[in-house]
Amino acid sequence: MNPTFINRRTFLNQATVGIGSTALTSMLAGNAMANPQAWPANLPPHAKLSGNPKAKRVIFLSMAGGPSHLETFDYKPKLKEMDGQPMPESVTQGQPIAQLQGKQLKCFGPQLEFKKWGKSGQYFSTAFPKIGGIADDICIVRSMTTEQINHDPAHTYMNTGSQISGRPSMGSWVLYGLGAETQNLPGFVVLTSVGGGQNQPIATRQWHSGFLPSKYQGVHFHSKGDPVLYLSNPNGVTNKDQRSVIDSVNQLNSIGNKTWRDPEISTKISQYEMAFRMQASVPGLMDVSNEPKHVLDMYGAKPGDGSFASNCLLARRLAERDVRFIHLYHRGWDHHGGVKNGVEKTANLVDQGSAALVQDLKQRGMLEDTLVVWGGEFGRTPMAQGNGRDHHIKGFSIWMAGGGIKGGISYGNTDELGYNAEENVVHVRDFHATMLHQLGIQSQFFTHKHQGLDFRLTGVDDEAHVIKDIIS
Amino acid sequence: MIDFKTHSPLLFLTLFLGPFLEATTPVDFTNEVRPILSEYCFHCHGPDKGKREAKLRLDISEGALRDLGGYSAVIPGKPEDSELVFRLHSEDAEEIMPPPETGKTLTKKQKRILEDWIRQGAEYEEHWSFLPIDSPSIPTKSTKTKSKHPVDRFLAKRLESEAYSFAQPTEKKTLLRRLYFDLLGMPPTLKEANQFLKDNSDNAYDQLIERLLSDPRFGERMAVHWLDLVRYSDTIGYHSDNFMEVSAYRDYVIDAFNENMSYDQFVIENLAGDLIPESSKRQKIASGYNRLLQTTREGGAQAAEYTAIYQADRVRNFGVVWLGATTGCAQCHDHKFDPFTIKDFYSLAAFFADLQEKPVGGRNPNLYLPTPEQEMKLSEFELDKKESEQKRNLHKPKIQQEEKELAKELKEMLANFSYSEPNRDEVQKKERIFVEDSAPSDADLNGEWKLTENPVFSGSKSIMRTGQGNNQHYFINSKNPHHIFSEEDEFFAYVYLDPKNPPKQIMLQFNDGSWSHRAYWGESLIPYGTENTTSRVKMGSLPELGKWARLSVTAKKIGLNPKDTINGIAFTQWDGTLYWDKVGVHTKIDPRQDPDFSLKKWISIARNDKSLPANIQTLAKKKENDRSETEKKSLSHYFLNFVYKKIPKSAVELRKKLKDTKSKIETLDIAVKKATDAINNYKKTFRSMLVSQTGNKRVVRILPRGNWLDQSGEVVQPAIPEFMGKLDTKDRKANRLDLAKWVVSNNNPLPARAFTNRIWKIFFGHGLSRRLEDLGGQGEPPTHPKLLDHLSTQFRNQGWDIKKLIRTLVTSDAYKQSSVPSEKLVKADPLNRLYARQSRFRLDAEFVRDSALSISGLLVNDIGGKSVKPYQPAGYWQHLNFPARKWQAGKGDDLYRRGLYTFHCRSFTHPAMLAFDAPSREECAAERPRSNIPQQALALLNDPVFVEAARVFAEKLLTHSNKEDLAKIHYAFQCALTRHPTKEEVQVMTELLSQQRKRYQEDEEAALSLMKTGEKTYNKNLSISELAAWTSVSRTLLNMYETTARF
Repeated sequence: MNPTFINRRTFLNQATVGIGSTALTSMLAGNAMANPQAWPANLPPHAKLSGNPKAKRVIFLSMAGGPSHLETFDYKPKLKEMDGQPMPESVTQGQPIAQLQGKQLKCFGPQLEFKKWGKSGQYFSTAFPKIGGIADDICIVRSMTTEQINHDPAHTYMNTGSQISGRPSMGSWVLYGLGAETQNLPGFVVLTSVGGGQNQPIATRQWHSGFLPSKYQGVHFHSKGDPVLYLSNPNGVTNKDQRSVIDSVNQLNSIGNKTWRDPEISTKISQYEMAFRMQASVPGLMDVSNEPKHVLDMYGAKPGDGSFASNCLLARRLAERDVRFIHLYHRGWDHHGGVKNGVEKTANLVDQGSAALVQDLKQRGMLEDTLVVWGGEFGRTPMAQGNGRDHHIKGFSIWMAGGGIKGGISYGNTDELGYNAEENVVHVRDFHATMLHQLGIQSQFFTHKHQGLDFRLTGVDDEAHVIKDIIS
Repeated sequence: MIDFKTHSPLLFLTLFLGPFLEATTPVDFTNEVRPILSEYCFHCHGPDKGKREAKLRLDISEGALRDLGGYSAVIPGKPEDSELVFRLHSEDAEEIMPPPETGKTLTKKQKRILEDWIRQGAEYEEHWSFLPIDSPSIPTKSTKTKSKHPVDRFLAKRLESEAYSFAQPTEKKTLLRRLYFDLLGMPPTLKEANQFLKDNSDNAYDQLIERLLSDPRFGERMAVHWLDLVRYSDTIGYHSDNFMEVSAYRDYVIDAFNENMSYDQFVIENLAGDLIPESSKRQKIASGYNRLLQTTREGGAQAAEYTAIYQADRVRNFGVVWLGATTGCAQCHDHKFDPFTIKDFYSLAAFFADLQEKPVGGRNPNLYLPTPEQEMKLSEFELDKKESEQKRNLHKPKIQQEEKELAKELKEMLANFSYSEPNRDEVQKKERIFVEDSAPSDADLNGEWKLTENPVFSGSKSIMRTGQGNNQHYFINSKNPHHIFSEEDEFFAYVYLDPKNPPKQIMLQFNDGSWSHRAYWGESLIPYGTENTTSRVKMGSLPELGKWARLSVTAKKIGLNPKDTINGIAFTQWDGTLYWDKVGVHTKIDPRQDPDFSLKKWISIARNDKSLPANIQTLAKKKENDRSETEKKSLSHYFLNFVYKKIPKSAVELRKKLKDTKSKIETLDIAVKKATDAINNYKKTFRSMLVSQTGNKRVVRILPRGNWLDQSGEVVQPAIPEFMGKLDTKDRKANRLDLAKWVVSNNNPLPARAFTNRIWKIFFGHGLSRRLEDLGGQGEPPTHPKLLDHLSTQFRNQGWDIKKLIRTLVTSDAYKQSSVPSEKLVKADPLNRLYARQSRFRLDAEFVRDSALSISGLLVNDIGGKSVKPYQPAGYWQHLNFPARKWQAGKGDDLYRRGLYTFHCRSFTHPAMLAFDAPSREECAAERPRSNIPQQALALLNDPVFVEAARVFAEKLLTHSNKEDLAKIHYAFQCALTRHPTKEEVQVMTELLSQQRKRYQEDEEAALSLMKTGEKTYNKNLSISELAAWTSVSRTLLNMYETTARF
């Protein structure tokens, strides 16, 4: 265990010693800090403020499966022209290829129409009419690259900055750096939605805290059954009964601790309080039926349907309650075949929710300090795989909104066939550095020592660059 | 890059001579200097040649003293002349070290240490863990302890200079619980407790130790720690994270600890059990260690990439587990802090290059572990096989002779037959069959094609499929695709739906380059295609259950026309069980396209037809122009003799006779094959194991920057890290067995230190060197290096005896002291580095579960066996796919086994375990964090197993002989905590009890539903409201910190 971490934990524990079972501060993954502008004394080793944090929290809309950039945000007329012709070998020679290994590689023109949206005239697919409505609020990055070509490692790469399992996810890093401000909720919440067709597996490693302490782990909220695992009382036990048991447990622990003087036990007592508060508050939070009808309509959410739209609405509710990192997964973007219908269908499932979330945050004045990110783990080949597209890592698109990112602009470009990102290339690391920068963290100095190395979200050795041009 | 020499030494002298003051005490290189150099300098001036700046290395003396052109970084005795010191103090951003962009700065104290060290002569010491282990002498005198125990003496020595001393011995009952948790992973039962507490003899404690060391629960307890290290799991890890059967390895570990197998033997069996001459089954199981890593079955994953991933994984794990060394950074470049080079990394990988495995795809067991009964039955099957072989050998030659003669006759008859290619106007109807009795032999297959013999529609076999949700099998890339003749072509398939478990939907999908032509029957659940288009055509309701039905669809209906070619068909269903048989198409055929009538066409498909004689297939593969006249003749002869349909009647009859003899031979062959299949199928019901299997070695090269696409690196041979020496294997290439023997050889100081340090942690709360996974430069030097060396040498020199090592630790006074610190001590030594008290900590996840089960009496303590599935929240596995699956909780005893037997899924580790920091076992976990989070409270309060344990515990309390509440409360505390409650505690419990009693008397229904938690039935002779009220009491006890912690 890292000494810094122990100091940190001791600090936390001591902060709650003697407070007793009623007036407890933020506990779940929390520290005593309330204001992210004022950096706490118990920083990770070399963490430094960038000086001017813009975002307090992140909502990451993870488009799992790898959306085709060529049908969504990256229009390539040249590819249309070359439809059916062999892909120039100079482009594909020696490149990693997934399911198209050993197959003939032919150009496959964009399958959907594109148009200009908003005052800014951002050019993207007609599959996103609602996102079209927030075109002036979003910054499209068209020059993303990643290093992993299969789903599982690519997700792990996007979320942890490494293909190797056991590294902390970005939500855990952010929580580790900034702490939580929540009273009754975890600081890092994960939501997964239903619908969309193919269901690529998603593993808990995607929100795991890796070698960081477990309290920085993402907590998966479920739309069916217990919203948080083990949240409901046992059958035949009311909240009052549960309260009695918890009170007794805490009293007994306090009696013992008069002798033992163990900060772990004080923390334990407060964790039982936190657990009880979560039992009381989470079901209400997850129940969106008390939202006004016009809000439900704006998102296209039906209470309890577990849809992406409902999860977007939940994301706003979590953001309002100061959850630091909210990670939404929506699957169904893995269009090896039928990319035209597939993208249309999945886009239709996420379009309204994504746009409503940005609008809703904006009208509540929260977009300024909330960074919204929309994107998948990779893009798709300009080459056909039947009437679909294979995995592709050399160029793809994401967008961001709020949190000090300029709206109504596009950044970077792929080549004319949409294969290689070639102008203002943004590696996943650069994206991570930019996200951390907006949160007030200089990625280079944000480290945690493990197995003898100073680990960063942005990698041990590699340079990561903040994308200055998209910051307002 | 900064030029290293930019200033005048004279200027430097005048600036810095002043502040240098003599240090009074000698500086300790290992503990004081090296950590500073490692943290601040080695990244750019360390062992990694690739990143070395200014050609300066500071990790070795020669580097530091090297003449850099009239000056040196370090000049022993002269800090004022040493460039290093100048750079530390420089105020010039170009000169100062470490450079500002690293964000690192040294404190004044750290600078002083470096200066003092240089002044005192700048002596380097080799890194402590790489030094040979000597046997340090045990300190003789001590003012801090009367104990003669070496552990106490070494610890006391360090305490001499402190104001405090060891804590008081802990209470007897606390010591008892401590030893039970540490050695068995659960508290003593009341009976076990009394056996010790009432024994006042001098050797009571020693006897207790012996009892526990020979208790089989000891092996289970130790295995938990071990399985974290080797990342043992029941699933493959990546993507679809499917099941893999390796539980026999877990049992091997349990047995090894229980039998006190010597550690060197254990090491050898793990790394190379399969290579030990005449290795036993158990040694092969041990070699399963090499197969425990994460693997993938993801479609589109590249073999070369995953081969690189696996070899790196193995080297990382090898380093941490066996050497306590982190080698991971050397995957991309020389290690920055330790002397491991990138070449060392790949040379280690080369030891594992002999392991035979499919990089991407399913893993078939390569060791079967039948029970004695199974073995007996197997020998019956083997007898059957022998009989069928004998029968074949007896009859086959005669029939073959007959066949030969018939063939000759046919050949002669057709010798002068003239053949010409057909014309298009002879078009005729045809039924073409894709699937009958086996999967297509000329296509790629996906999903399981499970052949079965009952029910069957035609031929001898059908294909069975059963599954949950969306599931399918298919063939694709057929070498003999079907060219749609007209829109009237009619595809058909026969299907039989199991009336006991019918599917909700069935679907046929046709591939013409993509899967976009589909027909389905029944509900609309399978998520492919778009309704009301040819990509998803509803044909009607499901056919009648329990009967063979013919499904058919025309090409037109699903949007296929004559320019399309079908190269694959998928058989998809939602839920249920069904059987497919005879799949084909009714079409018309241009005889020129029909291999039955056209020689040309036949040759074109013959090249891929594996059912043909090999020489014919080879000839067919040749280009027409390359075939000699004789070869052409051979082909056309074969065609006329066996394929062509328009031959004279007499020839047809001969052909039939020939076919009959062929089928006689086939029958004989099939009987043998059936008997062989029966054996193989029976074997599948055995417990099995993935073990190491040696074979041809892969070529291993250095992958620059770890990039698997870069094949420019040097090819390497198996070798140990260069700085640790060389293996002497004469002319033979070193293998895993050599590696394993080197690990435990006397000239390798690491494994004894690494193992001893980890064992120490179990009994004292943290390692003597704190970072259990890293004894290298970025780890922490041990707080008591001589103690660690003493224990390590004793361990190694006395036969790597694990129980003996443990006995040494737990008999020390230091182990037996109290864990309650004085306030003064907490301030002076908050992290308990000096062991002036015992450590107190929460139990590991598995033991939290085990304790609750044991206290309640629910525990089923069987040793070993396949992994089991206790309760788990519904839907927790919903995000697993390929295939989708549900956790199905076991029944009866399976629900109450110890935590280490719980099925371990890497993607979705059991949530109650996860809450208590059980690792996902994707990577080596030498040490678990000990977090304190609300999910733990939620699990203990609400996970059905803890509620069930509480209510069964309540039953135990209610059936206790003493009827008084007070007596029962005392009894409860004794069971759970091995002690009586205090007055205050009794008061808390009494209040809770009376309140809950009242509440459940008023609501017996609630009481009843509480009693229905979990599978165990409750005792109906007891009052339901009493049971419920006492359940609240026992829940409280099971949730107490003291219950889940080791004091």
